[in-house]
Amino acid sequence: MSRRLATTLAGLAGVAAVAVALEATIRAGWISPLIIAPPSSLARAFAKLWGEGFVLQPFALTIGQAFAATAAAALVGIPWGFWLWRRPELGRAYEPWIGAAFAAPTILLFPLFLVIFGRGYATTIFVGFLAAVIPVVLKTREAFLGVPRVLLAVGRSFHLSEAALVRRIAFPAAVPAIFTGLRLGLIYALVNIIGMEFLIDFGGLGRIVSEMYFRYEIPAMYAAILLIVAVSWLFLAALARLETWLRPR
Amino acid sequence: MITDSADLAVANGILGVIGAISKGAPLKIVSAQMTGAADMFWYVKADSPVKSMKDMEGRTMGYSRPGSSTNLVALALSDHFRVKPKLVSTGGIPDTRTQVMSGQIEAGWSVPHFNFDLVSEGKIRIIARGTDVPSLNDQTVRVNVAGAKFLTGRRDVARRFMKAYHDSIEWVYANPEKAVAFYAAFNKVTPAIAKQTYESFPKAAVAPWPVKGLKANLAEALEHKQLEKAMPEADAQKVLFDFVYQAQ
Repeated sequence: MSRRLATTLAGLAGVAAVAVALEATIRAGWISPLIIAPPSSLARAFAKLWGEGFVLQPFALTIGQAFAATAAAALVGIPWGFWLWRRPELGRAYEPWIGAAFAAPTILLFPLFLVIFGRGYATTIFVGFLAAVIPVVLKTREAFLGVPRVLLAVGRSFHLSEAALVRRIAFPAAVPAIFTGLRLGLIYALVNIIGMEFLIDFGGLGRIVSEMYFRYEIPAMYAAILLIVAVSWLFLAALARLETWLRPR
Repeated sequence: MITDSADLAVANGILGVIGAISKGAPLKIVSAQMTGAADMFWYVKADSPVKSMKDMEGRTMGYSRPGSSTNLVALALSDHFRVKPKLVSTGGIPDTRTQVMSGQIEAGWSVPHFNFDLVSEGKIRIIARGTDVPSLNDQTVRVNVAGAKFLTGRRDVARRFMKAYHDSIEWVYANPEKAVAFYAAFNKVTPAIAKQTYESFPKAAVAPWPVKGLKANLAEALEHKQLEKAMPEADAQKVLFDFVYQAQ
């Protein structure tokens, strides 16, 4: 058995074990099925969501918004983090402020964004972008700061230009930490986008979770939450592939 | 109530309650809270091209949350005026007001005393009221609900609470001037707005009993997927209600 297959099977086995334990706990009456749906009810719940058209389109909408927010965060955050590294005095001055902003619950500003952008995808994507860009900036700066000085010294000893130094040494060395920032950014973007969809009853899977919650369809609500987990898994898998492609061999 | 964090909840949309109980939630309806929709109104900005509910075809119309009384009344208004607005869950009154005034939705929902100030200032216009649908006058839209454990384990407390609830309503309508003054002071509104609010809630509308229009409510709950399958009225009477106290 290949190592990759073994890892995948181990992961699935862990999930299955949790599901079995949860099912047993609920059947034993220790947890109310009105609060946590038994895993055995999820298949029927998925079928119900599918029958009502609550799977493909909301799934695609949430994926699209999360992709747009994370891509925007990468396009803005990576250059911004790089610039804070290239200007150490600015990096030292602004990093604490950016870090502090990270702790702020920017999603609570959503009424302002609804006024500015209107009741639409622009608002949800912007809220996702705001949450994602900060970890991308911070991790990018940290990534470049973490490039071993000896590597840069070797590059300079070969008379590499500054641009070549960044392109051939600093950036490849920084890729793993930059991708850590992108993964964090994606997670925060997704959480905030789902939260917005829930709050304003607009968009994809978050709206479905809200609808099922207010209908008191608990299994369907958890089924929709599992679809959100699937979105996250797909994105993280895609990021892992991209990182492998970009990482130096 | 399901987790015993609360014993009783006031003013719940009846559709949502029917849905929850039908799916096994250990709750019972102990009384009506609002019959008819004399309190609810929908408004637009003063410069909106919408003059009445008949102009709402295809336009966005807010309600609070799925299964709520505002959801029920918005649907009833749409049916009555034979229009198909785009119903949007806008949340609470302040959120709805923000969305209307910033142009995100066309018509928002409200109840007294909220937004009366904007009406009197001419910034918004009322385009529909719950009373525009006569059939709603005999339909309970909101109910008070108690946990089944509370009703069995502390039944006397539940009974005394509902007696106090009933007696409070009787006092309000027997002492209108005092009630209005108390409302104005508690909510920090003018006496004029408090009086207008008082007049929006006829005594018959807030009577705790009976719960009216069960057949219509069951049909609405089924149509809007709060119920997964039809519930006969006779079954509903047994499953939904526990009138722990009823005035003689």
